[in-house]
Amino acid sequence: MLNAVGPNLNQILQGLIDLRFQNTLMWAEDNEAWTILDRTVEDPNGFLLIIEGAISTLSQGKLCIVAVKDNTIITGSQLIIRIAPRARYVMAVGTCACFGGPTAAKPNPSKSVGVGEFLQRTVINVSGCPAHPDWIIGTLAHLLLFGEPEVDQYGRPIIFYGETVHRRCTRRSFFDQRIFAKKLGDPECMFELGCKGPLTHADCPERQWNSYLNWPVKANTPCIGCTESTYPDGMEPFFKPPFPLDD
Amino acid sequence: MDQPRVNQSDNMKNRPKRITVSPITRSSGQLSIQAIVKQGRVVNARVIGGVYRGYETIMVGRDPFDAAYLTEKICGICSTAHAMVSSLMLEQIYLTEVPPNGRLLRNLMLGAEFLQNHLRHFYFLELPDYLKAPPNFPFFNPTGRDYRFTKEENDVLWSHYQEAVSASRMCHDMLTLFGGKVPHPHGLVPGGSTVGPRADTLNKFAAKLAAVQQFIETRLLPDTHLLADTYPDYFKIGQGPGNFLSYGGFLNSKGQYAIPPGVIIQERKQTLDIRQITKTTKYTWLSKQQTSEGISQPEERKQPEPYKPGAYTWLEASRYANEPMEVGPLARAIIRGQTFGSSTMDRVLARSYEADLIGRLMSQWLGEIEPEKLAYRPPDKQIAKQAFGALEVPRGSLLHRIRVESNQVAHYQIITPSEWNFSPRDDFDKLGPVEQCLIGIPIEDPKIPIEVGRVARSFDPCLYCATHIIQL
Ligand code: SF4
Repeated sequence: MLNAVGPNLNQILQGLIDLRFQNTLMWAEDNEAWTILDRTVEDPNGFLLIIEGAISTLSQGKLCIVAVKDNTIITGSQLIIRIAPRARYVMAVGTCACFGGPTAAKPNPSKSVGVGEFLQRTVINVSGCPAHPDWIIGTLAHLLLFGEPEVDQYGRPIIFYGETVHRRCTRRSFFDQRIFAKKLGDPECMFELGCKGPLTHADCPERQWNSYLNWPVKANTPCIGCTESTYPDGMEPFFKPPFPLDD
Repeated sequence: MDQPRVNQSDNMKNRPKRITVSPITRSSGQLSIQAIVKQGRVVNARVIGGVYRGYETIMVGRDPFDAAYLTEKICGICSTAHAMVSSLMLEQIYLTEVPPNGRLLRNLMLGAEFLQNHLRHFYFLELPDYLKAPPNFPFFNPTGRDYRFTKEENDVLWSHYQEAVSASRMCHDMLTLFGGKVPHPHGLVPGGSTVGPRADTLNKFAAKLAAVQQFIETRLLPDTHLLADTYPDYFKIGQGPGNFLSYGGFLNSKGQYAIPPGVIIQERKQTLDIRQITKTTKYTWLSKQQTSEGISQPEERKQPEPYKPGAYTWLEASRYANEPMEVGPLARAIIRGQTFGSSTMDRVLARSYEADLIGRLMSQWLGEIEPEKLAYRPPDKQIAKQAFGALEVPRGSLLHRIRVESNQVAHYQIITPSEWNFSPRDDFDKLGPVEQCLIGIPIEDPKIPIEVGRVARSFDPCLYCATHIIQL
C-alpha cells in the first residue's frame, strides 16, 4: 500500500476507505488499538476484512500471537474465527493469505493454510508475492463502486488475473521462435532458465511494478509463478523450465 | 530504618503492577511487551515475539539457487537484505566471479532498501509516538500522551509525514530499476545484477537518488534534530546493554567493507569472530537438537513446542561470547568510531545519520560504475559444501548459513537482526537487549504506557508475522 501510485497512500486514506485497524501504520497501540478493532467488528454499518499472511493452525495458531490480553494469548486464527463471520467481504491479500504460499511450503512447519480454506467460505483472493498495489486497491475500488468482481476458479479477480504472463509477455516473439536466453541477464525468452510465465495468471507484463517501471522478465530473470495456488512448491526449482517443450 | 508514612493511595501506587503492552503496533510483525512497574519505573520486562514460521526447515531439500528468491519472502520490508546475504553465501558454494559493476549495482539496490527502511521507520513507525495528527483522521488520532511539539512544529512534521510517502516510494522505484520489482526483487542474484548499467537506467536512478537525498537533507535530518531537541530526556531513557555487533556492510569491488565490522563489549573493541555466536532456547517455544558441528555454529534440528513450560516467545536468544548484543544503525555508528550513547534518542539519531551517509555512498558508487560493462557472471561449478553469508542490512546484522548435499539444501540457518535486539533471556537468565533497555524506564501512566513503545520502536522491530489483520 505504501508503494501505491495512483491513488497513493494519502489519497487512499483520505478518500477511498475508512481504514480502522492496520498493525503497521495505525497510530494507536496496545488496548486502544484493540478497542478500535472491537468497535469496528460491532459496527452496524459492516466492514471489510483484509487478511495478509497464511493462517497457522498448529496448536490453535499459537505460532502467530497477535496480542496478549489479560495474560491470555490471542492467536491469529482465534481472532479471525471471531471477526471474519461478521465481515461483509473477506479479502485475502498475498499468496500466503490466498493459498498458504511460502508460509505453507513443504513441510509446512506451522501447518498454515490460506484464509478461504481455513474459514471454509468464499473470499476474494488477491494473490501475488507480493500482491501488486494496483491489484489490491483496484479490487477494493471494485468492491466499493460496483460490488463483487468477477473471479476465476481460484477466487482471483479476472480483471487482473484473467490471462497468463506468457500470453502478454514482451519476449513472446523470442519464445515462438525458440530463441532462449542462455543465462540470467540475457534479453531473450527466459523459458529455459525456468520462466513460469506460461503457468502464471497475472498482468505483470502490461502493468509492471513500482511506479510501472519494471517487472521480473524485463529485469532479465524468470517469472517464478508467485500468483498461483501451487506456488512455491509447484514452481520450484525456480531456475528449471516448468515442462519439457515438445519440438 | 525509618519508613516514611504513606497513606492508602500511595501504598496502592507503590505496589508492583504488571502491564502488557500489546499489540505494539507500528512494527513489522507481532510484538508484545510485558513489564512490571514499581514506583513509576519498570523493574522487569519480557519481550514476546509472536511468530514462528520455520523458514529454515522449509529450505531443506530445495535447490540451493532458490534460496535467494525464497528466503526473501521472510520479510516484506527487507527482502533485498535476504537476497543479498544468501547471494554472498551461495557465491562461496559455487565458484563465482562477480564483476565490479555487479557489486556496485547490488550495493545500490541494497542501499535503496536502507533508505526506504530508514525513511519509513522514522516517519511512519517512530514519529507518531511524538506527533499529533489533525483531528479529522481517526486512524492517526490515538489518545496518546506527552505531546510536546508546538502547533507550528506539529503542522510541519505532519506535512513531512505525508511527503515521506512519495520519498520512500521513490527509494523502491530506484531499487526496481535494477531489481524488477520490490518487495521481493529478482535482479539481485548470486553472480551480480541481472540488469546491466545502461546509461538511461543509471540516469533515472541518479535523478531519483538526488531527490531522496534532498529529502534526507531538508526533511529527515532537521526533523530528527527537532525530535531530539524536544525530547532530550530520551537520551537517558532506554539505555541498552552497551554491547554492539556489526558484520560489516556494503562490499566494494575490492571486497572491502564501506561500513566496518566489529564487536564492542563493555567499551572493549574486539575483532569479529563468527564462531562466538550462539543461540539458546530456554525461554523459546522451541526444542532443538544438535545434529552436527557445522561450519560456524553447530547444526540443529528445531521443533516448535508451543506449550514448553517457562517459555514466553518464539525468538531464540542470540548471543556473542554469551553476551546480548545490540545491532542496527547505532551499533554500526559506534563501531565506526562515532560518539553516541546507547539510548532511545541515540538510536533515532544514528538511523537518520546513517540514511544520509548511505545516500552519499550511493552517489559515489554510481560514479564508479563502468557504463555498458558486464554486471553479472553466472556461478560455475560447486567448490564447497558449506558456507555462510553475513552482512549488515537495514535493521542490523543478518546471517545465512547453508550446507549443500547432492545439489540440495541439506541444512539452512538464518539469524535475523531482531533475533539479536528482541531476544529473550538466555540459558543463563541474562536479559535480551530490549529487555535490558526497558529496565528502569519511567512509566508516567500505566494505563497509557507510551514509554514502552517509544523504546521498543527505536530498535525498528521486525518480527514478521504470517497473519496480519487489516480492517476497513
Ligand atoms: S519470458 Fe517467460 S513469459 Fe515471456 S515468453 Fe518466455 S516463457 Fe513466456
